[in-house]
Amino acid sequence: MRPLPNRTRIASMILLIILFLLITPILIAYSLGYRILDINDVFILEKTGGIYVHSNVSDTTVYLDGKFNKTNGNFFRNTLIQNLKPEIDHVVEVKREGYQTWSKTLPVYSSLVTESRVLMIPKEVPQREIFPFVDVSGEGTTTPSAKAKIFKGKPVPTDEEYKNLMTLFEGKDIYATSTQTKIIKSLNTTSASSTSTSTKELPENFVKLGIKDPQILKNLIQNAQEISWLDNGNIILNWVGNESEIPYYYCLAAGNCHEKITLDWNDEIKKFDFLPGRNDVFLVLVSTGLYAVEVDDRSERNIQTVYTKNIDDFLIGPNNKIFVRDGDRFFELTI
Amino acid sequence: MDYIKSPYFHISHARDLKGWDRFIFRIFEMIPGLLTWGTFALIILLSVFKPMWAALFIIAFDFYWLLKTVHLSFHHYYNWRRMKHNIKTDWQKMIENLKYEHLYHLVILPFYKEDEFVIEQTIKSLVSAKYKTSKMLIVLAAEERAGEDAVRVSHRLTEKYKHHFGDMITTVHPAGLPNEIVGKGPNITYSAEQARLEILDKKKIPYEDVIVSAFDIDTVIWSGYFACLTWHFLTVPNPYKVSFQPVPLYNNNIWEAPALSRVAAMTSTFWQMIQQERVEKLVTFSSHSLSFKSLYEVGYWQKNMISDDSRIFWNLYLANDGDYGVVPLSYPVSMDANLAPSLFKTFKNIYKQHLRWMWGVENIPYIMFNFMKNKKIPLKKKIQQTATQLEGFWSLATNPIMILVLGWLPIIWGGSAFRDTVLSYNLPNITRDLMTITTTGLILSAVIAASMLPPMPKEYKQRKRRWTIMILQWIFVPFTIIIFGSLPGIDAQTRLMFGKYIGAFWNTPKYRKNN
Repeated sequence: MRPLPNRTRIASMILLIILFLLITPILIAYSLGYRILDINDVFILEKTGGIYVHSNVSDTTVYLDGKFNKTNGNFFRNTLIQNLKPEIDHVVEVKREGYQTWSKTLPVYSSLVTESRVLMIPKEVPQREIFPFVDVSGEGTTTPSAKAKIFKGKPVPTDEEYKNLMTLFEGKDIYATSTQTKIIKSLNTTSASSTSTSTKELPENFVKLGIKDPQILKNLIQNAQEISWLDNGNIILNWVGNESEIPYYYCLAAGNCHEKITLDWNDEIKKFDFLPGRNDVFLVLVSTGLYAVEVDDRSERNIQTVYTKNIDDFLIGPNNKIFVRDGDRFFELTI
Repeated sequence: MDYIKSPYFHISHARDLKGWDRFIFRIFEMIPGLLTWGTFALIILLSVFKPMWAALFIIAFDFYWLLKTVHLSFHHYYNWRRMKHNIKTDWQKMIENLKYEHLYHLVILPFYKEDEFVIEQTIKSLVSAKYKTSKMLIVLAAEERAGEDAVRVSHRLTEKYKHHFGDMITTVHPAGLPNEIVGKGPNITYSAEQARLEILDKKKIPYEDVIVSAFDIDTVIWSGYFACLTWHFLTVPNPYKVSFQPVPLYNNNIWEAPALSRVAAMTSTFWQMIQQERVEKLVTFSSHSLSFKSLYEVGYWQKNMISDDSRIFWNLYLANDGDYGVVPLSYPVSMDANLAPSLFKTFKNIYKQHLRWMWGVENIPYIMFNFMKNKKIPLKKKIQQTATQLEGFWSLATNPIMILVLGWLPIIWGGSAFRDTVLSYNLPNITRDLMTITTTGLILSAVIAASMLPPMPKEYKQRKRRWTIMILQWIFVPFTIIIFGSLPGIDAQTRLMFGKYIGAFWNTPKYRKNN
């Protein structure tokens, strides 16, 4: 048996070179977004765009302009929708049973991908009450035991977590003991995203925003590259990082970004924080309850209910847990 | 053969030259490294400053890689069929039709401190060759620097097996001879000369009737090897203008070696199989054969450099003014896969062995420089050979890294403006899809590899599990081609670029669990 004949080798190579020359331009055009679209029975070559939807929720179903697009599983949760005609707004809906539906109208631009991230809060947010007392069986209860200590005419809670939460919400150690103080200090230092601005030197980012005295700003929160506060019951959010790293929700389109976002609510916002793990979602406390609100204002913001009672306060506690205070009762919410 | 007299014929590196010649040679030494590092730098710079260009280049390159894989797989498959055919062929019967009784096979077996068991297995395979062993002249080439034990082993085995062959001698290469590196080249050159004086001249055997086979000491020949070699020697137009290259199968201890070692070994075998069908790119490697006449005329193997096995081809190519080639035998010889007492040591040895192979890049400045000096070689041949060698070493060092690592750079370093583009989202998807199609070629590799395996030792338990691993091990290929292909390639080219020459031949330790 002779070695592979040269003629066969050359023929094979020529065939592969032809394939390369034919298919590479097609691959490149495809990768750039070029598609042949059927528009009114006319096939035209169009430079399309796409939408990319990030999701931290599994097993979702995605709809585009009211039509089923795809189902995501547990592992692959994000969705890339391609081949979209540019310069047209598209409505993306993401649904899952037991969760509030996320819907967004997003613009699509030629050869660009419009990015977005779903906000899907469970319809029934699981909650756990933290009771002030512990009964003989070790269960939490609202009823103090006969032996309970009395402080300023009220029984002193015996549950440590409850006492810590009271102190966290009050901002001071009302049943002061040395050990509690340590715990509270520890809890405060691990608080997720809120930082106190009691420093005397004015950080550069505040100077950049023209803020002379951060102390007067209500509900001031400084993340790595974002600063936000409450102003007349509205949230003001500013990007103070590099322009090249600005997140998508500041941008209406590539190159069309603004560094300030205002969340203007009908009611007065009493307090806000960021939803743990998300820089693009506010937790907003208003008179009707606690809501999760998208920062992204490219179309109507998704507002999803977290807790619908007229609660007094909420906070992000240690380990990014959400606690709400409803009178003398405390609840931990799991989102 | 005038060029043999050239002062440049046996140079190893730039340090052997002076003045302008030295400067030119240094430039040539730097070219492979510059090409490789230049490629990486270009992709990195493009990824940062022109991420779109980088992404489009990567997509085009991935598709080129896919087509190249198809092209190479076609050659691989064909050679597999040819090798199976050649193994089945009764070569003894084939040579019966020819006049071959005048031919002798001089087999040189250089060794260092390898175990007596390993050496004896090699000799036993020669004894059991389907060829007249009286026409076989064996040289057991020991090293003085290996100590008295090694020399004693050599003498003992020579005495034990001498009567099987036409002749068998032990040569002991003296330690510390001038103008020699520590390595295999000086030993086989010394032993070839000793064989000439002690056997060929004494028995008055014409040099043109002797075929030399320089085998690594773990080379266990298949029974038809010498008949196959003889047939090819007698049927090529000019047997003094060619070397003969078998396919090295690293399967002596394949069932004992760890999966990564097996994959690295089999990948090397596959590459040699592919090269067997691309004769114009084939260069002698590891165990090979050639006419003693040709070998003697060029002064045997070079003694001052590491890659003696491939350099002898280039010596002969230059001496014959480009009229020299390699005949692919498509017939296997069995050798050892890398195996050491511990897994880490095994991997370390594989790396070192591959670094030594990749050090073959030292031939590039040699051929470029000598092509410049030898005006009798046609320009077309010079360009073809240089381009083939440069492309071969460049692609081995860069392509796996470009595909598996650098392909992500535009996404990571391209900035948000690029990350928002459809291209940025398509890049990983298209790359993944192209690579998935490419890796289906591994199925062919797994099938071919399985077909070439020796029987699993009877005493082995968990036989199904071992077979399963033997098939699934091919998922390691992306790692092995980077760790044992690209990295030693880059290492060797960088050393050469900076003039940090490898000064001593690293002898791959031979270890078999059963000995």
